[in-house]
Amino acid sequence: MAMCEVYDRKERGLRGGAGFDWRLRIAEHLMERTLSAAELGANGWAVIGRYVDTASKCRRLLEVVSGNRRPSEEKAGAEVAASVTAVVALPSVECQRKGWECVICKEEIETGRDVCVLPCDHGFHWGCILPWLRKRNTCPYCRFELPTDDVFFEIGRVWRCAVRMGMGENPII
Amino acid sequence: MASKRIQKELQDLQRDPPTSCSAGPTGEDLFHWQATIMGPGDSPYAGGVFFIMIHFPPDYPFKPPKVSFQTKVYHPNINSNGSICLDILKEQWSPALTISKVLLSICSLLTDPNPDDPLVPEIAHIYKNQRTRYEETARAWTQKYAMG
Repeated sequence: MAMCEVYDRKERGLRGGAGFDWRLRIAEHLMERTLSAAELGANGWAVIGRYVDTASKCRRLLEVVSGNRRPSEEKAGAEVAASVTAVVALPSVECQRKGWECVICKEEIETGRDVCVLPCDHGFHWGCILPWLRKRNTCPYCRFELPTDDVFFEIGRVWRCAVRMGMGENPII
Repeated sequence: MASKRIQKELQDLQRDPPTSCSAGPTGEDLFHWQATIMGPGDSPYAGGVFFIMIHFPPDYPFKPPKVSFQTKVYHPNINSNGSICLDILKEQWSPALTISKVLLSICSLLTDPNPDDPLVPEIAHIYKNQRTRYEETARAWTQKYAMG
């Protein structure tokens, strides 16, 4: 829906050539629209505050429902395996660079060998990354989080993604 | 995989040793190491030499190494057993980390304690409220246990 709306108004903007980030464009547009409707252009917090409040109420409700498990905070450090579906969907890329080191075994990946590439663009030997993803859902190199099969952990993960997007980082979910 | 990777780290440490730290196997067993850290110059631990024991689990690097101080240290994040409260040795461990990086992190923990996640709450309290007293005690302990 948001996409259509942006498309209507900023058709030219969306066809902005290679390398533009459509997600960023939509986010900018929505922000602009919400803020101008509320005439609070200078102070976004008053508008966003309500949503943040609702979101944190939902979170608290979930915390109560799930006993003592706090989906977004304590579980951030818990050991949760990457979802099998996400792992199966990981692309296998033939290594074409020389001198590419797999940071798990600290050995060079020979050219022509198939490597596992995570969405954050970090590559590893399949034999090295699979045992790790069975334990944790993070990239060993940059801690990028892959989806998991744990519902409560997922809520926290999406929350952290939203925080990162809010800080202007490139969103990869 | 574990022993191959440990061997590789040992070679890298010998080829390019980090400043103010050293590490290596204690005997024949590649999974038991001892390391030394020189107290950072800009901390009350300056001048001290601290011994650290490292034990690699069989499934290293998928699990973090067990690292503990053998020398007594007065620090909010290190207790009397030598246990270290450091996130990368627990839930923030990543197989991309190495012993050399762990030792460097311990060095920076010595310089900048983390009193908000203390292992010894009393020392953390003193660190927060009576900085000079903390520094004096840490210096005295360094002199008593980590020198000579």
